[in-house]
Amino acid sequence: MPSFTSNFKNKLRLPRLFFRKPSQLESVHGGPPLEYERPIPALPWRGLTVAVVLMVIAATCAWEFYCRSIGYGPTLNDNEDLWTSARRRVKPESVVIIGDSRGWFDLDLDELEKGLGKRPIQLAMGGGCAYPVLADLANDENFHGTIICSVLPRLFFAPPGTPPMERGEKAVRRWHTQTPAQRASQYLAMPLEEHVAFLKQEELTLEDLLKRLPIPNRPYAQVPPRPPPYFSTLDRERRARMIEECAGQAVDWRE
Amino acid sequence: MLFNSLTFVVFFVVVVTAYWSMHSWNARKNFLVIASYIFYGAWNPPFAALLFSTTAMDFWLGRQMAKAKGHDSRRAWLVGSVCMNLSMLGFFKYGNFLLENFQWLLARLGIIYQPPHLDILLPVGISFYTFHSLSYTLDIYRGVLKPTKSLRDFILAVSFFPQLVAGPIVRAGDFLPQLVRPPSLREGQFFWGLLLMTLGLFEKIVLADTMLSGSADRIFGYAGPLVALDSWLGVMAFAGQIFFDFAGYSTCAIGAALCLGFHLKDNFRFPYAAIGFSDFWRRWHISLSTFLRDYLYIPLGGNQVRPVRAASNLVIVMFLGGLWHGAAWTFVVWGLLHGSYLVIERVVRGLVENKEWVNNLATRLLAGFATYAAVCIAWVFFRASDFTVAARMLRGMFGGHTHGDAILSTREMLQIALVTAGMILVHWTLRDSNIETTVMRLPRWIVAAAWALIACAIILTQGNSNAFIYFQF
Repeated sequence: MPSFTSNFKNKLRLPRLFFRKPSQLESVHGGPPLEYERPIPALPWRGLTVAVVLMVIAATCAWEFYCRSIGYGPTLNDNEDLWTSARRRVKPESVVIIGDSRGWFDLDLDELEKGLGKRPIQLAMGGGCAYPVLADLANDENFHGTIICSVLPRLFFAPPGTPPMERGEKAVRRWHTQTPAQRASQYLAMPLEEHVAFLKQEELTLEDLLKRLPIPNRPYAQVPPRPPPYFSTLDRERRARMIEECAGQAVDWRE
Repeated sequence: MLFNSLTFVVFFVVVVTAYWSMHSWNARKNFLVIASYIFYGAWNPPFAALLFSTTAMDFWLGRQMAKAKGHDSRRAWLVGSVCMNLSMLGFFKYGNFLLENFQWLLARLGIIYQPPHLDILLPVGISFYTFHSLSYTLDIYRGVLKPTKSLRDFILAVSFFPQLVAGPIVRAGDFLPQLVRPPSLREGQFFWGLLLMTLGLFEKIVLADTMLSGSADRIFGYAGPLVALDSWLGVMAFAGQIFFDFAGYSTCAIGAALCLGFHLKDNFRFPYAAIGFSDFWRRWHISLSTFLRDYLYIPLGGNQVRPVRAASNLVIVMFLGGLWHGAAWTFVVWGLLHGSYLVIERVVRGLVENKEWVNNLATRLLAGFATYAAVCIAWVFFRASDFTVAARMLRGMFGGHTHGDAILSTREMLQIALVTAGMILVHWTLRDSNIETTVMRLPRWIVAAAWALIACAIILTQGNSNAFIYFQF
């Protein structure tokens, strides 16, 4: 009969953590578990790959020609990484433009440079709230230059959590947290976007094409409106130029 | 570095080209170590030093453990390794969570305590590489693995870039043997690896990010009450998103490893065709569930103990599994829900074990449907940012908001329905098979057309370098 002490020890025994004996299979030759090899389907892989590459190249070229034929041209995408690359150019004495689309579209940096004596840096964003950017520049101890801010009250005073505020916050956050990999991706993407028309993230992605499908919504559905179609191009300085057709016609010229 | 980024495309091309052009196996391994550290450091260079230090410590502890004579000293070295790894994980992942809860507890006792805010940045993939590294000392202790003599090999086993930041959790015991001899590429292995990478990127970029994530984000981010249809569709969208996101990453990792001559095990096996929750966990995040089974559940006694103890073991394991996913009580509830599901399933199985109707097609389909629905309910806690959101979602799903808002467009509803139906159909069709067998059976022109189609869909979608969900874990 076990003594009280051994019973007590038994009760106090820790769970059998790490005490399991290895199974016979696991301890084959006392070494590591059996090696594992994935099955490889037996197919004529070289021919198959060549066919796939040719099909993909053909489809990509066809899509590029089609996009150009309906009026699209190569342009950079306005994303947080491009904004960050512009923010990186801000020097202590820089002139910086912040705000919404009014301070962004067709603002002539060359003319401003002639007048101000310095080339301004474009940090305004379409549909964005300037407040987070203004706060970030104000908190930047190195910066004591000039800020030109376009103010549309409903955007500038947009409450937290709304898309305009989030847009500004996301850009500022990326500026502070951009990883070397994100920076490298931006450098690799820019030459591609400058030469390929279909690389337009807010117009020609699968998601945007699906959004264009004429599917009626439920009568009571609260669905956000679609943004306006392609009407501007962007360069490395984030200069947004409205395309020529915008000036001539008040209708969606591609429809 | 993300698989779905241009940087990775360039990185991978350079690595594969340089790797296969080297003749010396040692040079290749050295090169892979450097490449893996560049891959990791491209996110945040200082954390590469943390990765190296934990790896080096476990290497040393493993050697000490192997040298130790007595059982007690071996156990002491193991405790050292477990404490080192878990304290690192605890500090970076759970530091703020613990402080906040400590503050809350003191406040309940009437003590006002304002803890210092720890501005801790979570090293990406810390939960994964900690487990990679920990498996080494655990297996040495269990006697199933001999310590490697090469620090370089062990560094490569822990930091091999395809599986470094978001799994699968590759145990050192599965990877180290592959470093003994230089791998030889079998016929078609490289191209099959490329196809798997394309498939993984398609799952991530097209299915998860484009077809489902927008709807899931809108539903879970909506502050008002939602009608039942939108609530359920939002949860189904997330169920699909998290599967395609994580399974896509795992497929990419397996494909990238194959291109370099290495073999990683499956991490998913058509989980939404699971019949029951134990079946689900044999199919979902297999590398984590087997890790928890082998190093936690079985040492706790597994199911070789009294039923009540076995049930509590299950709940403990799933509780810790939930906490592994994130430092929030919502993850804990998710884990506990799955633990409860497993316990209930065990009880029900005991009651109906010998009944004839159990294996009917109708019963199996019904059980599969019930499993999917219950898994979706658990996903609510996984995705919700807090319990208020989770409660609002559950109320919406079960008809609590009769006059709630409808915010999904018809297009979004169709996308969710089509992708979910397609996913479940594929899972049920292939539940007892695997992708290799399926590809073998298909006519060649269909394989080529499907591969071209998914590649074109990726190019058309362009991707916006959205991080994988499991990166945050």
